[in-house]
Amino acid sequence: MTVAAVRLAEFEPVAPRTVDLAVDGLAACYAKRDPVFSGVSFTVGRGEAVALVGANGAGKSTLLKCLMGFVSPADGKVSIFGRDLSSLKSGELRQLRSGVGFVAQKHNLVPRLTALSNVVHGMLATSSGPRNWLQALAPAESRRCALAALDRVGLADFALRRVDSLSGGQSQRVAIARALVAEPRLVLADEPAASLDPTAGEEVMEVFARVVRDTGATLIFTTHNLGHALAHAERIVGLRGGKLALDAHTRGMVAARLRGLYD
Amino acid sequence: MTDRTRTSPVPARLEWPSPLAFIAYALGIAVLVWSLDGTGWSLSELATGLPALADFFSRAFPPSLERLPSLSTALVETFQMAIAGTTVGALISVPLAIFSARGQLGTRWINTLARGTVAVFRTVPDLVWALIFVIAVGLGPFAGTLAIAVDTAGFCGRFFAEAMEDVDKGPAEALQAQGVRRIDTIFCAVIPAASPAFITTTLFALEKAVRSSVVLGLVGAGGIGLELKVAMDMFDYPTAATIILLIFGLVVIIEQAGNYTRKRVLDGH
Repeated sequence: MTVAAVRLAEFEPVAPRTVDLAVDGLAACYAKRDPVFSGVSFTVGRGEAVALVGANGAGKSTLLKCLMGFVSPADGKVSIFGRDLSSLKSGELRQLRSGVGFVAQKHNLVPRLTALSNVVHGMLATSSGPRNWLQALAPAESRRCALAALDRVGLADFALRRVDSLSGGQSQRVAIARALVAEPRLVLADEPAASLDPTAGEEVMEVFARVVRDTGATLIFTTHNLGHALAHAERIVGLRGGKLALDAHTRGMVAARLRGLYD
Repeated sequence: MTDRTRTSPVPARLEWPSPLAFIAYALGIAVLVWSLDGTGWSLSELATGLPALADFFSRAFPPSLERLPSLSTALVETFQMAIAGTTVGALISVPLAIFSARGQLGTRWINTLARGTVAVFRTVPDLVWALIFVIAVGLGPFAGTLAIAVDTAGFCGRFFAEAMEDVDKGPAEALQAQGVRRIDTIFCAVIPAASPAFITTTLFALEKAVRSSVVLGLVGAGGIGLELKVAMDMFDYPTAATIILLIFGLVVIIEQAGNYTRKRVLDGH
């Protein structure tokens, strides 16, 4: 059975909610090559957790870059919090991004700085300036928020440790704390557990999904781990062959039935 | 058992250069020969000069300690010139590097202006800067310090910019994805990641400045260089030997301290 057929026949359709993210007829391509994907449309409601799955090269990361405004779509549009990204000036886009948290596959922390300084950096979108460049200079409120964010991911005791002395899993949890410290309404993550061993990956995804759920933020994450997608997302959006091949609730879904996305 | 016999010929150890590469090598050798000839390079003249060199050493030793206190003061002044000039130059080079590094900050016009400024600072020799500043602020260590500062700004500006261009872009992009301003990402993500290169480059600049500050004294820009020139002009070789040994000691101390600090920085401390 094809994935598209699975989508129509077996899974619960997506019910409408207040929309935080809307993707409409989106296409993206690099240089003048064939499009990575085209005609992709879906919406994500407030507080929803959506897993974006698909084989390597299916366009998951490119789609995520389009959602962040780093890649301009070849066609279609992306709206976040009701605002069309293509109509925004750079300052407005930056303003919009301040309501978005981002976790990359690689933690992307500043290696020579402490965990607390890295998390304080997450406050810069809402509180720009030299005082939030280092935790030692940061206002008491920034330090308190950053420490609370580290506490939520279980790393308050590591606040003053340099991040290059932390394990991969711990580093990724610091990155999660940095993404969430400013209490974003939308959290995007590009394979947040892919660079970790299975045990650390499970722990990180568990912490990540729980903390995002607690804040009530909307979550969109890409993953190759169908177990993570089914365990931590309410919905799965699947890409295959440059098209949207699946958009369905995870309730009642099993990993084996999603293999078609990787054929 | 698999047949491992090769049918294709064994490749040559060295390949013949292409005609263009051959011309380039020949041209390089020709330029070297031309330069040696143009500078009067002569082993026989060098051999003839060796007795004069031996005469200098025989007259210079033992070094004279008679003027050690005043020479020490001049040496300290040289060290101060190097420290002050390097620090001021390194500080000036940070904004220059931020604006001249590709993909960091500012418009193309500002990038070009910053890169041009760094190029001018770097390409004009420190001795020329010293002559200019002697005219501007008069004889003395201040002129030398200004010359070192400008020279260091050019040296560090270029290497700081390259270090900023080479750092992992991930941390800056992660912050930008969250709406952090470009200037904040530079000071939070780019400069901390480039800081080992900043520190090691500044230490190299300090070592360079110590050596430069000796030479700058020859044009009246302060420091122990002036003392060396006077001693040589007066054929006071024992005092000149003392000065040379003092300079040698200072350079060695600065280089050892620099090596130690560099090692600590590169080891992640």
